[in-house]
Amino acid sequence: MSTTLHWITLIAYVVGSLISLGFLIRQRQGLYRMGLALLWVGFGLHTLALAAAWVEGGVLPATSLRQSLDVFSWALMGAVLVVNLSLEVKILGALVGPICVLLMLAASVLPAVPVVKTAAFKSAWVIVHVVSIMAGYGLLALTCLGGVLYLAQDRALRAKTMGPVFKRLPSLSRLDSLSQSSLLAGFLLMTIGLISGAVYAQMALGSYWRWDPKEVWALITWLLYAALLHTRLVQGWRGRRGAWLSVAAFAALVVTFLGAGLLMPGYHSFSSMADLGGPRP
Amino acid sequence: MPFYPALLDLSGRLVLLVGGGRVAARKLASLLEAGARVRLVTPALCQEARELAGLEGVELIERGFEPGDVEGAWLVISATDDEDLNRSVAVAAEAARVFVNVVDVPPMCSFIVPAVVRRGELTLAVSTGGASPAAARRLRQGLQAQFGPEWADYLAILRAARQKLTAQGRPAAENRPLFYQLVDSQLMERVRAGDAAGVDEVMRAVLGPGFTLKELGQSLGRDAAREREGA
Repeated sequence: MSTTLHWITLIAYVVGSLISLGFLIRQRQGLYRMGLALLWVGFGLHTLALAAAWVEGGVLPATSLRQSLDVFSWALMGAVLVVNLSLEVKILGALVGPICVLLMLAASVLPAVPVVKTAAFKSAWVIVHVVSIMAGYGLLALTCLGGVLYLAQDRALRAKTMGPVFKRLPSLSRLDSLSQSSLLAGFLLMTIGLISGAVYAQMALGSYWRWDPKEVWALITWLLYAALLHTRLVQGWRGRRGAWLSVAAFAALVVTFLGAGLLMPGYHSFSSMADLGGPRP
Repeated sequence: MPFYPALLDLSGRLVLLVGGGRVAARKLASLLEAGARVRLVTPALCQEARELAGLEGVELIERGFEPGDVEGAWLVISATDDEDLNRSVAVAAEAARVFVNVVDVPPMCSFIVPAVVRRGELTLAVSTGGASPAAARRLRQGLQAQFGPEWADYLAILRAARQKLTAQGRPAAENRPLFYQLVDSQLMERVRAGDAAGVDEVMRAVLGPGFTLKELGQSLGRDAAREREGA
């Protein structure tokens, strides 16, 4: 069931992305609305697919890289659609849609590992930990995208001629607001995710901090984002500098998410998920 | 001793002007342009000065200068070629602690007037401290060529955009980079080219919708048109 839903979701995303790209090129409002509607439909299906996977596996479907990528693409799409409700940045669908499609395809081709049914993944703390971290990642990916678009628009504005790119990009003030709100929400969720993870580690492993590579990288990432928030809110580092920083911080986030899960040994790596125990009596 | 540069708000303030010749007429015109009220003291007026003296805000006193004339004035300008008269005006002003300018006699001045280029709200003032009025004049002509009439429109647009943006109540820190973005963008080139669509496009790209020339109540080429009409 979850597999079927996964593929239907992918189809909805692909079509929605194509229509959104059509809007990007032709600039017709009808195409924008249609593409957005399809992405919403896809997101609904995606939610159902993950729920079905949860029911089938009996645990939160984030025990392997395959599942994590799937959850991340869901979080990214959700972040875009929700942020877009209040801050309409019309070209986001055309940019994020294809990214989500690629993430889901990557999730589809990765080897299917049997779902580990550890007690850990049934704990409410771990569920909060994974869901808020993932939602935070989705929002911070959006912050990074906002930064990239800001830099592109900034470059177009300084150029001597106004090219086609210039007319299609959202205004700098809109992009700045997008980065700001996604950064605030993403940072808050990431913080909640780290705290709930530490609480569970204290319950399950007897210490809330174990210098696991993923923990260390997550801390580095968190500190970078804290610095980004500080420079933005306290020192008024908006504009170009803020945009560059948000891209740099996201690079650390990718290392945390993929590098620490794949390349570095530790209890967070996907290969050792099976060894995670439940809370000690 | 270097001068301390300042721009004065003379609107509604009384300025004493002594003299009735061509130079005095020129000074009177620039004072009225700045919105000053002028007390003009002179026994005789040239044609130009007489025309201007009939304008609102001018109090004409047709007699010789008396020290009591500086009473209530914020500023005193003596534009006569009578050295003794100039000196007594300067002394009376000094005694009343009012800044005084004796035209073409720097040693008697407590303030001097720079050569000025105006483009709408842009004021460029050039002063050689009295060292060489000729050099100051050439410099002013250079600036006139360098800063064309488009500066009037440009600044009017920036002011309107700034008012509209700050009225939206976002924090100043959020708006500041946007203002820098505007002045770093191609806005100036578009205004100079008289390309209204291009200006709207740049405004949209930086500030979003709601900042077109029409929405800001601005237009291009007003100043240039005025100059042509005046010519």
